[in-house]
Amino acid sequence: MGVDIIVIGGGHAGCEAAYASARLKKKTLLITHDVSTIGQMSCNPAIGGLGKSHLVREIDAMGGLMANCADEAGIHFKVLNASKGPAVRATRSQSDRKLYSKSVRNIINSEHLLSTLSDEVIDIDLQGLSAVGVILKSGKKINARKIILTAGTFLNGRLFTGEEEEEGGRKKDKTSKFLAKSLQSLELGDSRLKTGTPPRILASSVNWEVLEKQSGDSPRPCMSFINSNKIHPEQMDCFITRTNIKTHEIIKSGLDRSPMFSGRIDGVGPRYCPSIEDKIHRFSDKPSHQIFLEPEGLNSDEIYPNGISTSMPKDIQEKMVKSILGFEKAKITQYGYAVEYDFFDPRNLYPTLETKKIKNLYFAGQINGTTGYEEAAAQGMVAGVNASLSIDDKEPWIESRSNSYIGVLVDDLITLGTKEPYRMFTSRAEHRLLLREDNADQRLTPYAKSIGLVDEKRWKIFQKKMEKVETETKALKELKINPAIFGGKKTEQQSILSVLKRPEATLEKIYKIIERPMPDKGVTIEIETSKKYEGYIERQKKEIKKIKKYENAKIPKNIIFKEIKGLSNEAKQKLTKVLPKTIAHAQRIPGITPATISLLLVHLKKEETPSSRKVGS
Amino acid sequence: MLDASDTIIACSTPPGRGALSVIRLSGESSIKIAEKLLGRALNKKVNLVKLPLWDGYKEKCVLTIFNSPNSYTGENLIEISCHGNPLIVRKIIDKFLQSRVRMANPGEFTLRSYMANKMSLEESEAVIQVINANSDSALIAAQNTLNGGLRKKIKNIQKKLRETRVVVETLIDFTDEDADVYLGDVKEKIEFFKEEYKKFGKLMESSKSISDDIRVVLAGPPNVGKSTLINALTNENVSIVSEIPGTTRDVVKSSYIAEGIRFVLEDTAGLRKSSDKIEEKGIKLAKKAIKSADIVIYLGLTKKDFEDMPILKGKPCIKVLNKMDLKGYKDSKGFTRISAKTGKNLSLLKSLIVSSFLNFDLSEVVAVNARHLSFVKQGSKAINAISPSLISSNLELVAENLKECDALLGNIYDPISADDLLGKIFNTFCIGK
Repeated sequence: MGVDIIVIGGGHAGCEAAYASARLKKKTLLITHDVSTIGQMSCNPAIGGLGKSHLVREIDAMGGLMANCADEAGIHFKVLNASKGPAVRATRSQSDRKLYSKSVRNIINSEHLLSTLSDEVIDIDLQGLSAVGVILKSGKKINARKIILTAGTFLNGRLFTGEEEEEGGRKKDKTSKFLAKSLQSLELGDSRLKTGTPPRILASSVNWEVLEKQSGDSPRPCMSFINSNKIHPEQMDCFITRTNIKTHEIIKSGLDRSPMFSGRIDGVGPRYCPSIEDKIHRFSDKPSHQIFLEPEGLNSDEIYPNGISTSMPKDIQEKMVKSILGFEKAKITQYGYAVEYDFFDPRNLYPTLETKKIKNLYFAGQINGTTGYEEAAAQGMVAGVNASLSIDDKEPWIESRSNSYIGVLVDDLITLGTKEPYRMFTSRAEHRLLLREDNADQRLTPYAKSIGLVDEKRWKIFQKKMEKVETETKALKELKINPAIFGGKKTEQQSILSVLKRPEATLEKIYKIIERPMPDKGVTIEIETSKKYEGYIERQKKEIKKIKKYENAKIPKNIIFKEIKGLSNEAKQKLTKVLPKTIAHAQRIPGITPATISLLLVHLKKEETPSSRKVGS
Repeated sequence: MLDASDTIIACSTPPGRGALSVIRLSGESSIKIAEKLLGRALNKKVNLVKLPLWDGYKEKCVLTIFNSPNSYTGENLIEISCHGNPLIVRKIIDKFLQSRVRMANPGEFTLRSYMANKMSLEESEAVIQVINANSDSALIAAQNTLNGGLRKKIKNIQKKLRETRVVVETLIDFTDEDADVYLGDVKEKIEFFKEEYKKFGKLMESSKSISDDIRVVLAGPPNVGKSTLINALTNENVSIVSEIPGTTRDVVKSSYIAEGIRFVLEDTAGLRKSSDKIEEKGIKLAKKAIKSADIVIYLGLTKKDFEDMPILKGKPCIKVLNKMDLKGYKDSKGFTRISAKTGKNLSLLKSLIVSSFLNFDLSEVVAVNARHLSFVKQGSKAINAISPSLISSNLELVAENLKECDALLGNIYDPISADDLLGKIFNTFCIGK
């Protein structure tokens, strides 16, 4: 028995990987402990948000499933940063947990080259330093040309609540101990990370009357380029409450029993998603912390109180929750816990996410040190597509940092590695202004089409958008209005395109004035931004050109950094560890100074022309 | 591209006759090459050798050996001390040039030192400025940089810039995460930062002028005494003085030092309509010189002479009425009266020239070269583009401008990575719903 590609794991990375490879006509098998858990949201029931929604849109532009499922399951939508500029605008959605995983399973099950299997993989079958298949718990072997491992937090997962400690990758799910052990023997650079969850609360036990309500946006935005908001189910509200001084005192009284503070957890947790005990400890003068109450679903009686992730003992969790406004009579349905798990240093991966050490073995998702569904899904897409392309002997798909957040994500991981669970932020993208939610299709769909990853329906929608951008741009160039409308001096009529450069001018206002039917938002944002941001876009493009030059300055594979004269020991170590492929890549390694880069350039130049030395000045 | 593996040679002491000259030879093979040339081993730290230079003459020199990495360049380095005679120096260098050694480019020893991580880029730039310093003030400035003065200045402004960026980026990336930051904070921070940056920019600009020569251009109508003035100010007869209008055609240069600053004076052709082709060319040159001058001294005899004065935007200009020694001379307000011929009020003019530049504390000044200043100036452009309406309507562009400024300053010192900035955010604000 054999397939083209085996994907181990049915989370967000696994599903995206398997779905992509099946669409690229590869016979794909997804193996997970229990196929009924495919597409589960293990943490909070939300998709999107700052930086993350950009990833979701890029995955969507590549024909992935995440955006579509978020639309089908979305019960609350909000646009963040609506007035801070188009590039940092981000869509956040709350999902009905059950609808979400159902939507994922529907897509996975309907793909005819993709099959699923409930089983436990205990080892990777190797031939020398090449992966050739997997070994199941029963001892059975399944052969495959490529293996994609997306084990999430399941490798050696340990759950902590107060003094209690148990094995597991997620509450109610067993861990992958055997596989973890086999992988450790491969010496791929494993270490520990931690993350946490809050206690879940019975919705009917909350006093909603006293809480601040937050409704979704109207009109409702969509996650996917190809969906209309008509497919959204019934909508729900979110609520906000806050901790208080009493809550903080209760937490302080139990700190000595917290596994974080007693030193039983070695793994590093994320700085941007600290547990409530961490927040109180580090920001002791802040009298109150916000808690965002997320509904778990239309028919669910559970609430996800985002903001009080904790691993405190159960009795402290009880007291702490009851001290919060609206939670006086709250019932906890599941206690909060911290989970500690293995991850592998992503610097041991190629930009295709194939491991440098074991050929044909790819890693994607949380095992690479990331956190978040969106980050996992994006890596799943990268691994799935590249594994397939490699089977077909085609050029790999390597995104540049200037073209997508996917590019930023992968490059950050393989170049910098990570010390804490890595999450995307828009500030990680140096070309942020170019990477908008609304132009992800322009950045990625043509490529996806060229390798056969997107269907006709999506391609047609995309082409229609681009045609509309072109015809409207032409029309707006011809049409004239008086710029005085937007606070300028009274002058002659000017082309709308040039009037658009005024800060106060927006296409929405202009279309109203000229009484022209307004095209889709995707079209107007594209026209407006390309005009308003002309100067910035030009500059960023220039920078990119400069980077490309260094990107083209390849560092030979056989280079021995230790032997380059003049390099500091620190630089030698760092370069040897990362093995940068280009000068641009080397530049991004932290601690690599301009002096090191100059030396490298001199060295490369020297290697290039060993005999033709110039004499004199 | 300079080849770092070559062995290079250059004379490190000033050209001319003296008791001693020192020639430096640096490179991995420098010792081997010298040994081969001398036909003997150089095992001691200091070696007295006889170097055959031409038939019948052997120069006695002292070769001091510095083994890698304990040398200025970090490479094997030899200092050859010989008699301070340009001919001998040239002969020694010639000898080595025949043995796989090449002439060092200007600053190449320092460049190598930088490449070997022996000093930072700023320090190596400062060394070059110490060498090139042409006045006391420039030397003090270069020394300040060597002592880390520039780094301190840059660090200080970077710190303020990054505090501002932390607030802006928090507002963007953590808008829904209860971080206690508001748009009002940004407006306040940016106003404050703009002021700070302005001060910083001014200091950098003043510093740059002190490290360089100050170019003072003498301009005005023909025959008002410009050439007499340049000769008088510099105590040299560099410019031909005659009674024929339009005598000066080329730009004539001469310099003097005052308050530790070197001022280069440039005498230019008198500005008038001329049919003489050569004179016309001279006038063009004059106008070009005025455009690029640091200070312009505009010379005339009466107020009328200033009617056709070119417009000098923001450039210090001293209006001078010359020939106060002549009979019938009329005084006018707003003009400095001198007589270039008798020397009357020349010291006053000199102090005016100095004071139009020296409006800062000398100890604050650091060596700033054109590279530094261009980064600082571009940064100021980015900062000035942030308007209150931009903050309200497009915070992402505000962030972009701040980031650009940070990247520009990072070219001089201590660039910051996206991850480090995030670290600062997490240390400043409690992030997380």
